[in-house]
Amino acid sequence: MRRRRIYGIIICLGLACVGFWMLLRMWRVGQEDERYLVSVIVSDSSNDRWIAMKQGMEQAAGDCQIDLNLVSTGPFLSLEEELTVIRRELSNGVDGVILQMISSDGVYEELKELLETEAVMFLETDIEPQECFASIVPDNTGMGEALADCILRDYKNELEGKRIGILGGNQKQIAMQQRLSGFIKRMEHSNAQICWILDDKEADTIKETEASTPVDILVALEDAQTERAVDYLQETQERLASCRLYGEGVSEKTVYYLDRGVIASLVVPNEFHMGYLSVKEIDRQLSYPSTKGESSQVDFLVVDKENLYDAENQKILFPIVQ
Amino acid sequence: MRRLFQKKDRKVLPIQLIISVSFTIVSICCMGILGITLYQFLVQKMEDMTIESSEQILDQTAINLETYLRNMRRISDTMYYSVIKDKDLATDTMAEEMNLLYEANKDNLISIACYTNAGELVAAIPVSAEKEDLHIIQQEWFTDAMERMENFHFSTPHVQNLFDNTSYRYYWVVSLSRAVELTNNGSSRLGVLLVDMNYSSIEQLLQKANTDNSMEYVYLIDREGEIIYHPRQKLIYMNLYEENNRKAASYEDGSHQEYFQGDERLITVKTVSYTGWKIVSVTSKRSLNMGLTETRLFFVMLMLLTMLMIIVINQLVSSSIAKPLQRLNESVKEWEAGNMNPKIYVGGFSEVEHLGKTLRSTVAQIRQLMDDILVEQEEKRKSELDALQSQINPHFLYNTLDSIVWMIEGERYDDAVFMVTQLASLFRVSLSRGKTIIQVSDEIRHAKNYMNIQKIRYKNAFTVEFQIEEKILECCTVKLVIQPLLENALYYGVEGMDGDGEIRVRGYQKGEDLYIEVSDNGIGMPKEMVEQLLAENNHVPKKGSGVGLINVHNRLRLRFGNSYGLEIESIPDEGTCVRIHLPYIIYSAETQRRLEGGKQKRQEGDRSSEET
Repeated sequence: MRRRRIYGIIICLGLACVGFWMLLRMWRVGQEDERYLVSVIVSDSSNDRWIAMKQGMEQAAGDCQIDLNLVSTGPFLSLEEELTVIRRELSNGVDGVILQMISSDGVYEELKELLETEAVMFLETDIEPQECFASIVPDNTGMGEALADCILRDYKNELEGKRIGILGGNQKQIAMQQRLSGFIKRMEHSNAQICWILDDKEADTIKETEASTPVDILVALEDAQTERAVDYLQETQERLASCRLYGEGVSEKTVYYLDRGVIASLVVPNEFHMGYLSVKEIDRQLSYPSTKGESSQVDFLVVDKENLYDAENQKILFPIVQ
Repeated sequence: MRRLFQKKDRKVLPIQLIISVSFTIVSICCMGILGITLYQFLVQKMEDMTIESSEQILDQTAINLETYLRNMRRISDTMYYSVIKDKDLATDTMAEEMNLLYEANKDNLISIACYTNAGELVAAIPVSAEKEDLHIIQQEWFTDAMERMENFHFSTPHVQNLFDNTSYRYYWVVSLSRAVELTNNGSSRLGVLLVDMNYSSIEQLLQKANTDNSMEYVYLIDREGEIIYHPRQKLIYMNLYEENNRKAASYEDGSHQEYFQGDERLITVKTVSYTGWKIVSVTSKRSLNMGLTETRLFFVMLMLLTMLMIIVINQLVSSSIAKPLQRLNESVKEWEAGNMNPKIYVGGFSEVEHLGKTLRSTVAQIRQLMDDILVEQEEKRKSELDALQSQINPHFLYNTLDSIVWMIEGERYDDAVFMVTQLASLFRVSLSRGKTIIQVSDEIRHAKNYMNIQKIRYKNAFTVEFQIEEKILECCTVKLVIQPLLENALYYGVEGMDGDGEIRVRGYQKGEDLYIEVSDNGIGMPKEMVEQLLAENNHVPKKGSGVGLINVHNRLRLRFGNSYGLEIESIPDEGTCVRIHLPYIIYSAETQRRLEGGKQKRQEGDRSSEET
């Protein structure tokens, strides 16, 4: 009799425990899932070139229940300026940051100290030493090679005596270095002559440089440099006829001038994909803090006037919401 | 094995456990069935509500979309029937009317343009420079209009590629095109009227139908399943997300269930009139399940709580049913254990109370019956005693009177007087006012009277000696127990002897018992005969009154119990000693009444049963 009573009490206690556990679960179901706050810091955040990337980020943020803060910035003139913005965002208590660093060198130690607990992703370019932090970048070397391939295709590999000027962009970034090296390597055996290479600081001297050393082919390795080259060619109409422009670009302006025939070929990284993956990856890092961030590459398109309006290219090149 | 089962079968569980467990099992089963049925009903209801809600959203979205598209068709109709048909291109311009229409609808429009069948631009609004090297006649909207001239044609979303926009803007549009008849110098020719609708307007209409939940959404496809709008359109374009849009194009209007990429989904389809477009609502079953998690937990908790309550209530109910029965059972057990006066429980439910009352009255009746039986047995025993005692009187009286007759005939009047006196005394003791228990002194006097009579009869052929301890004279004895022994001593001991017979009566106390011995120096008897003397139905030849030792033995045992009675010792040719064994009880009125009632024997019986 006593044993039966003990069994009865044990069953009742068991049922009560399960009920209590259910109550706890019900209470937790009623609560909203934790949302992470992630800041995105890129140079000149209001520039059109970020439209597709922002769309990708917002799409992923909606999927992952992340509150995205696209920090309003102007063009960063120095690394310190960018670090100041990063510090400010971290002091606001964000859970993670997505960074487009304007310099790949000399920032590792500083960032390592700053980013102790926060998740971090690098956009567009990695920093030195590479692979210490996770990054989402386009195939930069491939893009440089693709530009070279466009030139080789258009000139049917007959580049003997052709002179090339390069607007190399921000060569402090690994991405730009990779694009340049990819381009030069592919052009090594083309018999074309690379007359000059201007980085972003020297790009303002394009008019003088081109006047003293005119080139047949202009190559711009980043969106801003492509726009600058377009502006230069538009200003000097006589050069437009004799100089062909090949560039990298994602902004509507570069697409427009491709459409107008000012740009012969345009290499367009899949910015939407890059933005989407960066937020997805940072969400993974925040959800599983013990896991290491994973780097990945996104693809790019090579478009010219002929295939600009192809159905598949339209879907990637033109942002849907205007 | 069979024995094992039989053994198991014999194991009887307590009523409370049986009631409690069976009630609990039945209640839990009922609760479970009820809970599951209710839950299924709720799930079905939620599914129906979701479908209903999806259909409502779809209906509303379709109405908004149809209204929007109707407006676009109206613009096209107005442009055609009110402007183009009234104009001769050689002399008239349609710019003003076109501008009016555009201005009235510019929120939803990107442009209106009219082309000849050769692809030459006739008019367009807003006024912009046409792009160079355009192959208008190869564009899809143009070929569709020219191929099926009687219809409106809605394209899938695409980037407009007609006009130069120096602000670098590219617009996603849905083109509405139709073949028109243009008049030029009085002659007519075919052309195409193009209304480019702003895709953002369509997108906004459908965004309203989409919530934040990624598992419930609405998308729009054309009749071939080509996506016009999807909340994850870009992801689909980049192959980062897949949609079952091709299959959805084959669905009829209404609700369907499908499995796509391992997910069970509820699909609700609504066709937009005229265009053949389909609005598709997708609800993942996972989303329904997530919504039901709280409900499921609530149900489980409710069932657990109910189970707990059922167990507790069942315990209380079974206890209230079983407890009175158990207490009644305890009473019966107490009765079974030998307590003839058990306290029978009366209480609980009316049925149990009735059982208790009945049992109590039964026990009382049985006890009464047993008392009655005891009384009857006592009466019977008394009757037997009386019968045994009455066996003495006729024999003795016959012999004595016979002796007196002989004395009188022999003129021995003094002897006769003595004998009659002795006889009178003997009868006084014999009667003892109806008592069975008398003092030892009276019994000894009775024995002496008897022996005096017999001595006269036998002419002093024997001697009698009485050695009685003073302290036993006031003790209790059954009356008329010595006289038969003396009679036997006379008839079987000394009567046939050659020499003088000697009879000795000795009374003494030993321990808590009293002994009266009658010994003679007669012929004695063999051991076999001694053993038969006290046996019922013995075949020992009888003389005299015919009342044997067995008579006395039985009377003593009937009165005092089987521990008492006669003990016989005899040695052939040496003599016989018959010993009366009695309890040492001092005579008093109370003791006499008690012994008369047979209580001594009952106490003796109880004592012997306790010993066993």
